[in-house]
Amino acid sequence: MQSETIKLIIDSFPKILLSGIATTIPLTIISFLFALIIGIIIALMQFSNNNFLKGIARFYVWIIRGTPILVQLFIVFYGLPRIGILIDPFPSAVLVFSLNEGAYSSETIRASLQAIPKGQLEAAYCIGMTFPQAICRIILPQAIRIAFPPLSNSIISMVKDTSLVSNITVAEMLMMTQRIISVTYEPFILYLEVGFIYLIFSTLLTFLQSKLEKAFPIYK
Amino acid sequence: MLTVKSLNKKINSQNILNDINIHINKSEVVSIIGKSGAGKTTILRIIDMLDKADSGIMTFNDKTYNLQNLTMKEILKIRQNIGFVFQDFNLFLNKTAIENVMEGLIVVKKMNKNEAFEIAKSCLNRVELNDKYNSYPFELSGGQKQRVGIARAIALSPSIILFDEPTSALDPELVDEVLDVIKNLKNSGMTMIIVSHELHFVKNISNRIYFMENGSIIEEGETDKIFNNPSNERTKEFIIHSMKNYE
Repeated sequence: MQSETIKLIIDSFPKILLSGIATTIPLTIISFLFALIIGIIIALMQFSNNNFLKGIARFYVWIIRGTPILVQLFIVFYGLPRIGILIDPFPSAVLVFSLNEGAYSSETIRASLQAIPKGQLEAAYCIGMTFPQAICRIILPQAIRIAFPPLSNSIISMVKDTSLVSNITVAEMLMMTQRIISVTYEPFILYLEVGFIYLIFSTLLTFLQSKLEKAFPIYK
Repeated sequence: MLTVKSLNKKINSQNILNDINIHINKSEVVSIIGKSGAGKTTILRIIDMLDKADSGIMTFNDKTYNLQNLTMKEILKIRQNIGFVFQDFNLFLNKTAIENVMEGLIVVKKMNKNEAFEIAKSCLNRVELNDKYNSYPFELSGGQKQRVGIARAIALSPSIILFDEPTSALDPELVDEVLDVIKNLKNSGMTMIIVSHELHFVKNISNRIYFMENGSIIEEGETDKIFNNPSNERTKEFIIHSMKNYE
């Protein structure tokens, strides 16, 4: 490998990595936390006996899952200003990723809730618990344990999907890479490099996932 | 103590319960017997508000409730005074034996952890599970699980305990350990309604029996009368047939 190429890799690595630490990671973590809250609420709406709540939840999931995330980003960032709603790039990205991942997470959590035997809820009722108490103390802890592996996969996917926010001017890793390419004209090396950094993030998350899975209490 | 009058329930236009009338006095043990699908479990589930009745009146602890129109407050009040022991245990899978027993005391009775722990300990000791406090349900045998279920029910000091086929999911050699616990509860004066196919046990423990068929109570009476001199031909057939199967 030529020394110029090595120099380019060494020089660009901290810049790309820094934009990942400053933008990609916070965007992923913040969006995923919001998505988890949305996902739990939507899943509980679908789990409830209230047809109105179920209807709203299903409509939301239908809309979000049926449209590409890039289109959703464009609607929020480029479309909303047409009706007077102007949101900065980073909050726009957080909003879209939270709503998008919220819909997918809700389906994972809903399936996990449905996997809990009906008798668990009935036993909670029989000792006098209310529905919210039964959900918070008995059902959700078991459902989250089931949902944890697929939710972990979602967060890993989300790290990679954040590359799309370069389309709405958020300076994350891909945009930083493209900026460097525009002055160095070395797309092959630099795209390989940013791919490698995404791989590092994904590997770290996979490692964290396996550690956290082991932290859950063991029961069958 | 507990009276159910004119209880009716339909599912998909099929009558599940027809004009059921049941009464139980304090410290009495009443058993409901009959073939599978007769509606025995449904009665228990309606009494503990797990299923909704189409019509019926229930008087419990001197208060009368219209089973068709109950508020959430009434439902919670009824449930907090009734213990329920399930056929398939339904222990909280994410909690140890002691946590299963403590849960209602902490969340429903609002006790602090130490107080709840002491009560839970004494309940588990009462069902002879002193060495299983920290075992998860998957680490327990069927009989032990059912005894945790009973400890969970008695921990809340209910006025009455409903047993829904408490031994049906157990291996034959584990049945006695559960039945012994229920006998001890009777000796302590606990009011109980038992749905069971263990007719020998039902005969030994019950003060009165209700015999059901196709959603209706065909016959009721003192245990001796039902077992030795039933007035209904169907009761007689059922008892002779069931007792023979156990011999």
